Amino acid sequence: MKGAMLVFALVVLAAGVIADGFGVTSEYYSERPLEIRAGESIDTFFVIQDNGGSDLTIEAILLEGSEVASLSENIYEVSTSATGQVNVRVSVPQGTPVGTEYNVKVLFESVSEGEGGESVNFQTNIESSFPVIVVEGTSEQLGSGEGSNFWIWVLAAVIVLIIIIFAVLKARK
Amino acid sequence: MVKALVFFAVALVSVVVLMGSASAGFFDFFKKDVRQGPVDVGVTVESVAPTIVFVSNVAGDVLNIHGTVSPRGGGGTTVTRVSFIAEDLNGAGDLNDASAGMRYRGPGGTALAGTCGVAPTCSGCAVTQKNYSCNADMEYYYEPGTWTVNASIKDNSANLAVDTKRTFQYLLYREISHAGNVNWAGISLVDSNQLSDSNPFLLTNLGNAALSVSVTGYGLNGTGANPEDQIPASNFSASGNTGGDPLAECDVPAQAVALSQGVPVTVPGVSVPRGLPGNNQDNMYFCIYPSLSSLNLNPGQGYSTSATGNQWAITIV
Repeated sequence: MKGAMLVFALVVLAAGVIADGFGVTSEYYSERPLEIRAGESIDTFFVIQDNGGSDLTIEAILLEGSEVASLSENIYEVSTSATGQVNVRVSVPQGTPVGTEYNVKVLFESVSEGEGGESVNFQTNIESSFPVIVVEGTSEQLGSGEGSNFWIWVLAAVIVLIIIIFAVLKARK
Repeated sequence: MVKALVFFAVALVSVVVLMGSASAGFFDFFKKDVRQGPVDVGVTVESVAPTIVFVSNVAGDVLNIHGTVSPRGGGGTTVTRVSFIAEDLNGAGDLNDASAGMRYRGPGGTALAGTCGVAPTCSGCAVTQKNYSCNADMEYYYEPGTWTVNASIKDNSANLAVDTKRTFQYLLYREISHAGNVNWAGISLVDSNQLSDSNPFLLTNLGNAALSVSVTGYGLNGTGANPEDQIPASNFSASGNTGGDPLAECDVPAQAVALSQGVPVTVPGVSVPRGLPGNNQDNMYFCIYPSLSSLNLNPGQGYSTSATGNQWAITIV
Protein backbone atom coordinates (compact mmCIF):
# COMPACT_ATOMS: atom_id res chain seq x y z
CA MET A 1 0.00 0.00 0.00
CA LYS A 2 2.74 2.37 1.00
CA GLY A 3 4.64 1.59 -2.18
CA ALA A 4 1.75 2.52 -4.41
CA MET A 5 1.58 6.10 -3.23
CA LEU A 6 3.26 9.10 -4.68
CA VAL A 7 6.18 10.83 -3.07
CA PHE A 8 5.03 14.42 -3.05
CA ALA A 9 8.01 16.02 -1.50
CA LEU A 10 10.80 17.36 -3.58
CA VAL A 11 13.71 15.08 -4.09
CA VAL A 12 16.69 17.35 -4.31
CA LEU A 13 20.11 16.24 -5.36
CA ALA A 14 21.53 19.55 -6.28
CA ALA A 15 20.19 23.04 -6.43
CA GLY A 16 21.23 26.57 -7.06
CA VAL A 17 24.09 28.15 -8.83
CA ILE A 18 27.38 26.32 -8.97
CA ALA A 19 29.26 27.53 -5.92
CA ASP A 20 32.60 25.89 -6.53
CA GLY A 21 33.46 27.02 -10.04
CA PHE A 22 37.10 26.34 -10.55
CA GLY A 23 39.41 25.12 -13.27
CA VAL A 24 42.85 23.64 -13.61
CA THR A 25 45.65 24.55 -16.01
CA SER A 26 48.15 21.85 -16.99
CA GLU A 27 51.62 22.31 -18.44
CA TYR A 28 51.67 18.76 -19.79
CA TYR A 29 48.81 16.63 -21.11
CA SER A 30 48.19 13.63 -23.33
CA GLU A 31 49.27 15.38 -26.53
CA ARG A 32 52.26 16.96 -24.80
CA PRO A 33 53.91 14.34 -22.60
CA LEU A 34 56.66 15.16 -20.18
CA GLU A 35 59.89 13.68 -21.54
CA ILE A 36 62.50 12.83 -18.97
CA ARG A 37 65.83 11.00 -18.81
CA ALA A 38 66.64 8.26 -16.36
CA GLY A 39 68.04 9.78 -13.18
CA GLU A 40 66.57 13.18 -13.93
CA SER A 41 64.09 15.30 -11.94
CA ILE A 42 61.77 17.84 -13.55
CA ASP A 43 59.47 20.29 -11.81
CA THR A 44 56.13 21.04 -13.38
CA PHE A 45 52.88 22.50 -12.13
CA PHE A 46 49.13 22.73 -12.20
CA VAL A 47 47.37 26.02 -11.61
CA ILE A 48 43.99 26.22 -9.90
CA GLN A 49 41.78 29.14 -10.93
CA ASP A 50 38.91 30.11 -8.65
CA ASN A 51 36.17 31.50 -10.87
CA GLY A 52 33.33 31.23 -8.40
CA GLY A 53 31.96 33.76 -6.01
CA SER A 54 33.71 32.53 -2.91
CA ASP A 55 37.06 31.39 -1.60
CA LEU A 56 37.83 27.73 -2.20
CA THR A 57 39.64 24.96 -0.44
CA ILE A 58 40.89 22.43 -2.95
CA GLU A 59 42.42 19.10 -2.08
CA ALA A 60 44.87 17.66 -4.59
CA ILE A 61 45.08 13.87 -4.52
CA LEU A 62 47.68 11.95 -6.51
CA LEU A 63 45.65 9.11 -8.04
CA GLU A 64 48.31 7.63 -10.32
CA GLY A 65 52.06 7.96 -10.78
CA SER A 66 53.15 8.14 -7.16
CA GLU A 67 56.22 6.06 -8.06
CA VAL A 68 57.64 9.03 -9.99
CA ALA A 69 55.64 12.11 -8.95
CA SER A 70 55.04 13.99 -5.73
CA LEU A 71 52.99 17.06 -4.88
CA SER A 72 54.38 19.95 -2.87
CA GLU A 73 51.17 20.15 -0.81
CA ASN A 74 47.74 18.58 -0.73
CA ILE A 75 45.48 21.39 0.47
CA TYR A 76 45.24 24.70 -1.38
CA GLU A 77 43.33 27.78 -0.26
CA VAL A 78 42.42 29.84 -3.31
CA SER A 79 40.76 33.24 -3.03
CA THR A 80 38.01 34.39 -5.33
CA SER A 81 39.31 35.26 -8.81
CA ALA A 82 42.81 34.22 -7.77
CA THR A 83 45.08 31.35 -8.69
CA GLY A 84 46.93 28.71 -6.71
CA GLN A 85 49.96 26.88 -8.01
CA VAL A 86 50.37 23.17 -7.39
CA ASN A 87 54.01 22.16 -7.80
CA VAL A 88 54.76 18.66 -8.99
CA ARG A 89 58.21 17.05 -8.96
CA VAL A 90 58.74 14.17 -11.35
CA SER A 91 61.81 12.00 -10.72
CA VAL A 92 62.75 8.87 -12.64
CA PRO A 93 65.35 6.52 -11.13
CA GLN A 94 68.66 5.76 -12.79
CA GLY A 95 68.53 2.65 -14.94
CA THR A 96 64.91 3.08 -16.00
CA PRO A 97 64.65 1.69 -19.56
CA VAL A 98 64.10 4.13 -22.40
CA GLY A 99 60.48 4.08 -23.51
CA THR A 100 59.09 3.40 -20.06
CA GLU A 101 55.83 5.31 -19.62
CA TYR A 102 54.08 6.48 -16.50
CA ASN A 103 50.81 8.30 -16.09
CA VAL A 104 50.52 11.02 -13.48
CA LYS A 105 46.90 11.70 -12.53
CA VAL A 106 45.78 14.23 -9.93
CA LEU A 107 42.25 14.70 -8.63
CA PHE A 108 41.35 18.23 -7.60
CA GLU A 109 38.44 18.08 -5.23
CA SER A 110 36.58 20.99 -3.73
CA VAL A 111 36.29 20.50 0.00
CA SER A 112 34.49 23.78 0.60
CA GLU A 113 31.33 23.57 2.66
CA GLY A 114 28.13 23.17 0.67
CA GLU A 115 25.03 25.12 1.36
CA GLY A 116 22.74 23.86 4.08
CA GLY A 117 19.20 22.57 3.91
CA GLU A 118 17.97 20.58 0.99
CA SER A 119 19.67 22.80 -1.53
CA VAL A 120 22.80 20.77 -1.83
CA ASN A 121 25.27 21.80 -4.44
CA PHE A 122 26.74 19.30 -6.79
CA GLN A 123 30.41 19.08 -5.96
CA THR A 124 32.59 19.60 -9.00
CA ASN A 125 35.90 17.77 -9.26
CA ILE A 126 38.57 17.83 -11.93
CA GLU A 127 41.01 15.13 -12.89
CA SER A 128 44.15 16.20 -14.71
CA SER A 129 46.74 13.79 -15.98
CA PHE A 130 49.81 13.68 -18.17
CA PRO A 131 52.09 10.96 -19.51
CA VAL A 132 55.73 10.74 -18.47
CA ILE A 133 58.01 9.12 -21.03
CA VAL A 134 61.61 8.10 -20.39
CA VAL A 135 63.78 9.17 -23.32
CA GLU A 136 67.36 8.61 -24.48
CA GLY A 137 70.29 9.81 -22.41
CA THR A 138 71.21 10.03 -18.78
CA SER A 139 71.01 12.87 -16.33
CA GLU A 140 74.80 13.31 -16.67
CA GLN A 141 74.39 13.95 -20.37
CA LEU A 142 72.06 16.80 -19.62
CA GLY A 143 75.09 18.85 -18.67
CA SER A 144 76.57 18.70 -22.14
CA GLY A 145 77.84 22.23 -21.63
CA GLU A 146 79.76 21.02 -18.61
CA GLY A 147 81.21 18.26 -20.77
CA SER A 148 82.51 20.85 -23.21
CA ASN A 149 84.10 22.74 -20.34
CA PHE A 150 85.85 19.59 -19.26
CA TRP A 151 87.70 19.28 -22.56
CA ILE A 152 88.58 22.95 -22.52
CA TRP A 153 90.19 22.44 -19.13
CA VAL A 154 92.06 19.39 -20.41
CA LEU A 155 93.39 21.43 -23.31
CA ALA A 156 94.42 24.24 -20.98
CA ALA A 157 96.21 21.76 -18.71
CA VAL A 158 98.16 20.32 -21.66
CA ILE A 159 99.23 23.80 -22.73
CA VAL A 160 100.37 24.66 -19.21
CA LEU A 161 102.26 21.38 -19.06
CA ILE A 162 104.07 22.15 -22.31
CA ILE A 163 105.03 25.57 -21.03
CA ILE A 164 106.39 24.08 -17.81
CA ILE A 165 108.40 21.46 -19.68
CA PHE A 166 109.78 24.13 -21.94
CA ALA A 167 110.72 26.28 -18.97
CA VAL A 168 112.46 23.37 -17.25
CA LEU A 169 114.42 22.48 -20.36
CA LYS A 170 115.45 26.06 -20.76
CA ALA A 171 116.62 26.28 -17.14
CA ARG A 172 118.80 23.17 -17.48
CA LYS A 173 120.61 24.73 -20.37
CA MET B 1 117.82 26.74 -27.73
CA VAL B 2 116.96 25.04 -30.99
CA LYS B 3 113.92 23.47 -29.40
CA ALA B 4 112.77 26.87 -28.23
CA LEU B 5 113.11 28.33 -31.68
CA VAL B 6 111.21 25.43 -33.22
CA PHE B 7 108.48 25.87 -30.61
CA PHE B 8 108.08 29.56 -31.30
CA ALA B 9 108.20 29.00 -35.02
CA VAL B 10 105.40 26.48 -34.86
CA ALA B 11 103.41 28.77 -32.62
CA LEU B 12 103.88 31.72 -34.93
CA VAL B 13 102.87 29.76 -37.99
CA SER B 14 99.79 28.52 -36.18
CA VAL B 15 98.79 32.03 -35.18
CA VAL B 16 99.25 33.32 -38.70
CA VAL B 17 97.27 30.45 -40.20
CA LEU B 18 94.50 30.96 -37.70
CA MET B 19 94.35 34.65 -38.40
CA GLY B 20 94.26 33.87 -42.05
CA SER B 21 91.29 31.61 -41.64
CA ALA B 22 89.54 33.94 -39.25
CA SER B 23 89.99 37.12 -41.20
CA ALA B 24 89.39 37.13 -44.88
CA GLY B 25 91.28 40.38 -45.24
CA PHE B 26 94.55 39.46 -43.56
CA PHE B 27 96.36 38.28 -46.70
CA ASP B 28 94.86 40.98 -48.80
CA PHE B 29 97.83 43.09 -47.75
CA PHE B 30 100.05 41.03 -50.05
CA LYS B 31 97.79 41.25 -53.02
CA LYS B 32 98.74 43.49 -55.88
CA ASP B 33 95.23 44.32 -56.95
CA VAL B 34 95.35 47.70 -55.30
CA ARG B 35 93.90 50.73 -57.01
CA GLN B 36 96.44 53.49 -57.07
CA GLY B 37 94.92 56.13 -59.37
CA PRO B 38 92.07 58.56 -58.76
CA VAL B 39 88.64 56.95 -58.99
CA ASP B 40 85.31 58.59 -59.61
CA VAL B 41 82.85 57.53 -56.99
CA GLY B 42 79.08 57.91 -57.28
CA VAL B 43 76.89 57.23 -54.29
CA THR B 44 73.20 56.51 -54.45
CA VAL B 45 71.42 56.22 -51.14
CA GLU B 46 68.87 53.44 -51.42
CA SER B 47 66.30 52.33 -48.92
CA VAL B 48 67.57 49.43 -46.82
CA ALA B 49 64.98 46.89 -45.77
CA PRO B 50 64.26 46.93 -42.04
CA THR B 51 65.03 43.99 -39.82
CA ILE B 52 63.53 42.69 -36.59
CA VAL B 53 66.36 42.17 -34.15
CA PHE B 54 64.50 40.97 -31.06
CA VAL B 55 61.11 39.54 -30.12
CA SER B 56 60.30 39.18 -26.42
CA ASN B 57 58.66 36.27 -24.65
CA VAL B 58 54.89 36.32 -24.71
CA ALA B 59 53.36 37.20 -21.35
CA GLY B 60 49.78 36.48 -20.32
CA ASP B 61 47.86 38.16 -17.54
CA VAL B 62 46.76 34.93 -15.84
CA LEU B 63 50.22 33.49 -15.30
CA ASN B 64 53.47 33.35 -17.17
CA ILE B 65 55.66 30.48 -16.13
CA HIS B 66 58.43 28.99 -18.23
CA GLY B 67 57.32 30.98 -21.31
CA THR B 68 53.76 29.73 -21.16
CA VAL B 69 50.33 31.34 -21.29
CA SER B 70 47.24 30.03 -19.53
CA PRO B 71 43.66 30.44 -20.67
CA ARG B 72 41.49 32.46 -18.33
CA GLY B 73 38.86 30.47 -16.51
CA GLY B 74 35.18 31.21 -16.29
CA GLY B 75 34.97 31.62 -20.06
CA GLY B 76 37.22 34.66 -20.00
CA THR B 77 39.92 36.18 -22.14
CA THR B 78 43.66 36.22 -21.50
CA VAL B 79 45.40 39.41 -22.50
CA THR B 80 48.84 38.63 -23.90
CA ARG B 81 51.67 41.05 -24.52
CA VAL B 82 54.79 40.83 -26.65
CA SER B 83 57.27 43.45 -27.80
CA PHE B 84 59.76 43.53 -30.62
CA ILE B 85 62.64 45.77 -31.67
CA ALA B 86 62.92 46.73 -35.31
CA GLU B 87 65.92 48.29 -36.97
CA ASP B 88 66.27 50.36 -40.12
CA LEU B 89 69.76 51.44 -41.19
CA ASN B 90 68.20 54.43 -42.90
CA GLY B 91 67.28 55.60 -39.42
CA ALA B 92 64.48 54.71 -37.05
CA GLY B 93 62.39 57.43 -38.67
CA ASP B 94 62.16 55.28 -41.80
CA LEU B 95 60.16 52.63 -39.92
CA ASN B 96 56.46 52.83 -40.66
CA ASP B 97 54.91 52.71 -37.19
CA ALA B 98 51.41 52.14 -38.53
CA SER B 99 52.54 48.97 -40.27
CA ALA B 100 53.85 47.30 -37.10
CA GLY B 101 51.90 44.09 -36.69
CA MET B 102 51.79 40.92 -34.69
CA ARG B 103 49.88 37.71 -35.32
CA TYR B 104 49.68 34.38 -33.53
CA ARG B 105 49.12 31.07 -35.24
CA GLY B 106 47.98 28.07 -33.27
CA PRO B 107 48.79 24.40 -33.78
CA GLY B 108 45.39 23.86 -35.35
CA GLY B 109 45.77 26.81 -37.69
CA THR B 110 43.88 29.37 -35.65
CA ALA B 111 45.17 32.81 -36.64
CA LEU B 112 44.88 35.76 -34.36
CA ALA B 113 45.87 39.37 -34.99
CA GLY B 114 47.09 41.71 -32.29
CA THR B 115 47.53 45.44 -32.18
CA CYS B 116 50.89 47.19 -31.92
CA GLY B 117 52.18 50.63 -31.10
CA VAL B 118 55.49 52.32 -30.41
CA ALA B 119 56.61 51.50 -26.87
CA PRO B 120 57.37 54.52 -24.69
CA THR B 121 60.90 53.31 -24.05
CA CYS B 122 63.53 51.34 -25.92
CA SER B 123 66.24 50.57 -23.41
CA GLY B 124 69.68 50.23 -24.96
CA CYS B 125 68.40 50.77 -28.46
CA ALA B 126 70.50 52.36 -31.22
CA VAL B 127 69.25 55.43 -33.09
CA THR B 128 68.28 53.10 -35.90
CA GLN B 129 65.97 51.02 -33.69
CA LYS B 130 62.46 51.26 -32.27
CA ASN B 131 60.61 49.17 -29.73
CA TYR B 132 57.03 48.12 -30.48
CA SER B 133 54.60 46.81 -27.91
CA CYS B 134 51.74 44.55 -28.99
CA ASN B 135 48.85 42.80 -27.32
CA ALA B 136 46.30 40.22 -28.34
CA ASP B 137 43.33 38.65 -26.60
CA MET B 138 43.27 34.87 -26.42
CA GLU B 139 39.96 33.15 -25.82
CA TYR B 140 39.60 30.32 -23.35
CA TYR B 141 38.68 27.83 -26.08
CA TYR B 142 41.73 28.32 -28.32
CA GLU B 143 43.59 25.05 -28.85
CA PRO B 144 46.45 24.21 -26.50
CA GLY B 145 49.93 23.66 -27.88
CA THR B 146 52.74 25.56 -29.53
CA TRP B 147 51.75 28.92 -30.94
CA THR B 148 53.99 30.93 -33.27
CA VAL B 149 54.45 34.68 -33.05
CA ASN B 150 54.63 36.53 -36.36
CA ALA B 151 56.04 40.04 -35.85
CA SER B 152 56.26 42.31 -38.84
CA ILE B 153 56.94 45.88 -39.91
CA LYS B 154 57.49 47.86 -43.09
CA ASP B 155 59.62 50.87 -43.80
CA ASN B 156 58.39 53.93 -45.63
CA SER B 157 59.35 52.29 -48.92
CA ALA B 158 57.14 49.29 -48.14
CA ASN B 159 60.08 46.95 -47.53
CA LEU B 160 58.85 44.25 -45.19
CA ALA B 161 60.54 42.57 -42.23
CA VAL B 162 59.03 39.47 -40.62
CA ASP B 163 60.15 37.36 -37.69
CA THR B 164 58.53 34.04 -36.80
CA LYS B 165 61.12 32.51 -34.50
CA ARG B 166 59.35 33.20 -31.22
CA THR B 167 56.89 30.60 -29.96
CA PHE B 168 54.98 30.02 -26.75
CA GLN B 169 52.88 27.31 -25.15
CA TYR B 170 49.17 27.92 -24.73
CA LEU B 171 48.40 25.57 -21.88
CA LEU B 172 45.58 23.10 -21.46
CA TYR B 173 42.78 24.29 -19.21
CA ARG B 174 39.81 22.32 -17.89
CA GLU B 175 36.67 23.75 -16.36
CA ILE B 176 33.03 22.92 -16.58
CA SER B 177 29.85 24.60 -15.49
CA HIS B 178 26.51 22.90 -15.19
CA ALA B 179 22.89 23.71 -14.75
CA GLY B 180 22.72 23.04 -11.02
CA ASN B 181 19.36 21.50 -10.20
CA VAL B 182 18.67 17.81 -10.37
CA ASN B 183 15.34 16.89 -8.91
CA TRP B 184 12.23 14.82 -9.24
CA ALA B 185 9.32 16.97 -8.13
CA GLY B 186 7.22 13.91 -7.42
CA ILE B 187 7.92 10.26 -7.99
CA SER B 188 5.89 7.10 -8.03
CA LEU B 189 6.95 4.29 -5.76
CA VAL B 190 5.81 1.69 -8.26
CA ASP B 191 6.68 3.01 -11.70
CA SER B 192 10.00 2.49 -13.39
CA ASN B 193 11.84 4.78 -15.78
CA GLN B 194 11.09 8.08 -14.05
CA LEU B 195 12.89 10.95 -15.68
CA SER B 196 14.31 13.85 -13.73
CA ASP B 197 12.49 17.15 -14.04
CA SER B 198 15.92 18.71 -14.51
CA ASN B 199 16.56 16.95 -17.80
CA PRO B 200 18.40 17.97 -19.84
CA PHE B 201 21.19 18.69 -17.43
CA LEU B 202 23.32 21.17 -19.37
CA LEU B 203 27.10 20.93 -19.25
CA THR B 204 29.21 23.80 -20.60
CA ASN B 205 32.90 23.47 -21.37
CA LEU B 206 34.83 26.52 -20.19
CA GLY B 207 38.21 25.10 -21.11
CA ASN B 208 40.13 24.27 -24.26
CA ALA B 209 39.89 20.48 -24.38
CA ALA B 210 36.95 18.17 -24.99
CA LEU B 211 35.63 16.76 -21.72
CA SER B 212 34.09 13.56 -20.49
CA VAL B 213 32.49 13.39 -17.07
CA SER B 214 31.82 10.92 -14.34
CA VAL B 215 29.14 11.12 -11.67
CA THR B 216 29.56 9.97 -8.11
CA GLY B 217 26.24 9.24 -6.43
CA TYR B 218 25.13 8.59 -2.89
CA GLY B 219 21.89 7.28 -1.49
CA LEU B 220 19.21 9.85 -0.66
CA ASN B 221 17.82 9.67 2.84
CA GLY B 222 14.44 10.82 4.07
CA THR B 223 14.20 14.39 5.27
CA GLY B 224 10.99 13.90 7.27
CA ALA B 225 9.67 11.45 9.80
CA ASN B 226 11.66 8.48 8.49
CA PRO B 227 15.24 9.64 7.91
CA GLU B 228 16.41 6.03 7.80
CA ASP B 229 14.46 5.45 4.57
CA GLN B 230 16.85 5.60 1.65
CA ILE B 231 16.79 5.57 -2.13
CA PRO B 232 20.10 3.86 -2.93
CA ALA B 233 22.44 5.46 -5.45
CA SER B 234 22.20 2.37 -7.63
CA ASN B 235 18.57 3.26 -8.45
CA PHE B 236 19.69 6.29 -10.42
CA SER B 237 21.06 6.22 -13.93
CA ALA B 238 22.76 8.80 -16.14
CA SER B 239 23.41 9.03 -19.83
CA GLY B 240 24.29 11.43 -22.57
CA ASN B 241 21.48 9.92 -24.62
CA THR B 242 17.76 10.50 -24.31
CA GLY B 243 14.45 9.29 -25.64
CA GLY B 244 13.62 6.27 -27.72
CA ASP B 245 12.13 3.01 -26.65
CA PRO B 246 13.39 1.98 -24.23
CA LEU B 247 14.25 5.39 -22.86
CA ALA B 248 17.99 5.77 -23.38
CA GLU B 249 18.69 7.53 -20.08
CA CYS B 250 17.01 4.67 -18.22
CA ASP B 251 18.37 1.85 -20.34
CA VAL B 252 20.97 0.33 -18.02
CA PRO B 253 23.48 -0.90 -19.03
CA ALA B 254 22.97 -0.63 -22.79
CA GLN B 255 22.71 3.17 -23.07
CA ALA B 256 22.96 4.47 -19.52
CA VAL B 257 25.06 3.76 -16.47
CA ALA B 258 23.76 3.04 -12.99
CA LEU B 259 25.27 5.18 -10.27
CA SER B 260 27.27 3.50 -7.55
CA GLN B 261 27.51 4.54 -3.91
CA GLY B 262 30.58 6.76 -3.55
CA VAL B 263 32.17 5.49 -6.75
CA PRO B 264 32.59 7.66 -9.85
CA VAL B 265 31.09 6.16 -13.00
CA THR B 266 31.78 7.56 -16.44
CA VAL B 267 28.60 8.66 -18.15
CA PRO B 268 28.22 7.18 -21.65
CA GLY B 269 27.47 9.48 -24.53
CA VAL B 270 28.72 12.64 -22.86
CA SER B 271 31.53 14.54 -24.58
CA VAL B 272 31.52 18.26 -24.06
CA PRO B 273 33.37 19.81 -26.98
CA ARG B 274 35.81 22.67 -26.95
CA GLY B 275 34.47 25.64 -28.82
CA LEU B 276 32.83 28.98 -29.09
CA PRO B 277 30.02 29.78 -26.68
CA GLY B 278 27.03 27.80 -27.85
CA ASN B 279 29.23 25.16 -29.45
CA ASN B 280 30.77 24.00 -26.20
CA GLN B 281 27.85 22.23 -24.58
CA ASP B 282 26.40 18.79 -24.11
CA ASN B 283 23.46 17.40 -22.20
CA MET B 284 23.26 14.73 -19.54
CA TYR B 285 20.05 12.96 -18.50
CA PHE B 286 19.10 11.37 -15.19
CA CYS B 287 16.56 8.69 -14.45
CA ILE B 288 15.28 6.55 -11.59
CA TYR B 289 15.17 3.42 -13.67
CA PRO B 290 13.85 0.59 -11.46
CA SER B 291 10.63 0.55 -9.51
CA LEU B 292 11.11 1.64 -5.89
CA SER B 293 8.29 -0.60 -4.63
CA SER B 294 10.58 -3.00 -2.82
CA LEU B 295 12.18 -0.22 -0.73
CA ASN B 296 9.09 0.35 1.42
CA LEU B 297 9.66 4.10 1.49
CA ASN B 298 7.64 6.66 3.39
CA PRO B 299 5.79 8.51 0.63
CA GLY B 300 5.15 11.63 2.66
CA GLN B 301 8.66 12.97 2.89
CA GLY B 302 11.39 14.30 0.71
CA TYR B 303 14.67 12.57 0.02
CA SER B 304 17.93 14.40 -0.19
CA THR B 305 21.68 14.17 0.21
CA SER B 306 21.50 16.76 2.98
CA ALA B 307 20.67 14.12 5.59
CA THR B 308 24.04 12.39 5.18
CA GLY B 309 26.07 15.33 3.93
CA ASN B 310 27.35 13.30 1.01
CA GLN B 311 27.16 15.50 -2.03
CA TRP B 312 26.95 14.01 -5.45
CA ALA B 313 29.91 14.93 -7.59
CA ILE B 314 30.52 15.64 -11.22
CA THR B 315 34.12 14.99 -12.15
CA ILE B 316 35.87 15.98 -15.34
CA VAL B 317 37.81 12.92 -16.43
